[in-house]
Amino acid sequence: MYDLAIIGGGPAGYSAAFEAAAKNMSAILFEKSDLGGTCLNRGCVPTKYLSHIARKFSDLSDSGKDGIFFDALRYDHERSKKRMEEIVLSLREGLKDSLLHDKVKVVSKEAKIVSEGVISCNGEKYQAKNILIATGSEAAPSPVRNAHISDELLLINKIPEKLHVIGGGTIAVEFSSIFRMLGSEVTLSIRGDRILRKWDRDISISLTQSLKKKGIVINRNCDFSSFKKNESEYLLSATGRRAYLPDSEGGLFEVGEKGGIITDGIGRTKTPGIFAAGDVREDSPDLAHLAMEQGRRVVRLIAGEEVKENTSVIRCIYTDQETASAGLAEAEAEERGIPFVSAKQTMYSNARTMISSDQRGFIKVLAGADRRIIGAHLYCEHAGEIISEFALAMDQGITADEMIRTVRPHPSYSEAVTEALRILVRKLDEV
Amino acid sequence: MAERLFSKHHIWVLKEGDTGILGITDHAQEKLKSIMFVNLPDTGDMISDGKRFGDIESIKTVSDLIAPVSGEVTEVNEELIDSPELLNDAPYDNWLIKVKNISSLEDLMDEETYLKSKDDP
Ligand SMILES: Cc1cc2nc3c(=O)[nH]c(=O)nc-3n(C[C@H](O)[C@H](O)[C@H](O)COP(=O)(O)OP(=O)(O)OC[C@H]3O[C@@H](n4cnc5c(N)ncnc54)[C@H](O)[C@@H]3O)c2cc1C
Repeated sequence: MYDLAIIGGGPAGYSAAFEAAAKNMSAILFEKSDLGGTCLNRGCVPTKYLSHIARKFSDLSDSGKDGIFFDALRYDHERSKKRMEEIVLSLREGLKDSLLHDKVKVVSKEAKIVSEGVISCNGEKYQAKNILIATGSEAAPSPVRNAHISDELLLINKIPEKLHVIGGGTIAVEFSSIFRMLGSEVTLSIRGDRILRKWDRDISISLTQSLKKKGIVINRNCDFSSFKKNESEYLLSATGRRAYLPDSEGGLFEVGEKGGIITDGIGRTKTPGIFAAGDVREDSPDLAHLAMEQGRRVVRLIAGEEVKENTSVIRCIYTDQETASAGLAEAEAEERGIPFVSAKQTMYSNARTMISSDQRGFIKVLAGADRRIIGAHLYCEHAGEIISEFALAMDQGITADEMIRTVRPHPSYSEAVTEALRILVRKLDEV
Repeated sequence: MAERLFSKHHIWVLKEGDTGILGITDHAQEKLKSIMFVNLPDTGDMISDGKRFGDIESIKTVSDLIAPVSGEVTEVNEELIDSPELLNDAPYDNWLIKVKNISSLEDLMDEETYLKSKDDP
């Protein structure tokens, strides 16, 4: 009898396994395909590698202004794809070794929940005191016919001449930006009138502008019922993700409208001893770092620890210049009737930004009436790194006045954080 | 043709029926210097008198746009998103937004009064 049986070896599953090992619990993990899940094999890691090289290629194409010249610059997708596979493989091997080292038993087959505390896999039955469902998600069905999904786009050997992306979320925007920088002609078609609708408005407008400047054509208010595929285009559907449920005896957990497993904030399903974490949850924001934390929280709960339900959710978009967001957007704060003050600092006067790029950018910060930080929206170099100091402030209830006391290095992108806070404090003093 | 009216927050309003056309004053663009980006509301959004309805980023700073009237945004000058420098070139030819069912313009100034008052602290 295991203390914990985990179905799915993605970020939610393997993080739970490591946490269980650290707490001296016996754990078994079932993975029907590749360890690392969507994130490592078909998601975060390969796409961020591609966005890294797309940026590199675009920077080199534009390096004349810095006095760097080439006789010929060429991009070979087959070569970079090989490198991408090497990176994924090495991380996967590392993950496998760590699980082995932590004495987590890994079974490489599809698992099924037979009843409370019982899992069957490959003809065998396994007993466990607790079961964690971490089976992740798959691409949502496409609104148009004959479209590819992102898993397939990551397998192609040659950059398509023309790429048509359906969808206006993070994945759609990232792929559009990456493939445009690598040389494709890109069209992005969305149902609504703006990309990244769930994001801060300044960010959504800024990214729209930056995509258009790159030469990406954005079709808004599209009606996909009459959509006709153009044969000369590679058609990618990126309209979100859908929970992937394990085969299971009926009635053990409830499934919500979006098809995910309904849980409480920590991950309890309606059956004691059965939990869910990651993309498979109905309330999942489809983020790997959240999936990991949810997996760990379930283990802490099983270990009898007190579990804090809420930490701030950080979202990032890895276009050439990064975007990152945590906490409330202005529109959200307004809707919820939360009084706030917001301040925005642009990067035009930031020395480090001027040295490294000439892109427009900003840092926007929101504070509540008690001067505590309640939101941050960044569109600048390394936004995905800088955002963590805001998340820390939000999780610890730090005020704008406390944050501003830290002296940030010069020249750094973070100096703009100080500048934004300076404006914020001035505005807070005015109200 | 109606007369252009001015707010102390350096916004001009031109009334056409119950619609108000809003822009920034020449004085504002001069103070801002090179305008790099304009953030405007969406059509259908409500703006309210005295409240922020967007901002303008210049090389120097970010300036909030303060609404001189209340009403519903019916049109946004999308051209400014691509070419914000138009505001430096011709601030009175390049409007920001159009607003319908606008509230009273009573508190706004005529050009002469605005030009006299604009340098007051
Ligand atoms: C193109 C793309 C880019 C992304 N980029 C980012 C990013 O930059 N940052 C970020 O935070 N997130 C990103 N994501 C989202 C991220 O990948 C997911 O949020 C994350 O992988 C969720 O982790 P998970 O463990 O819940 O599920 P998954 O990673 O999907 O793992 C679930 C695992 O369970 C296995 N499984 C399913 N059913 C069974 C069964 N019955 N028995 C055994 N095994 C089973 C599956 O094979 C899979 O390996 C991206 C996603 C995509 C598609």
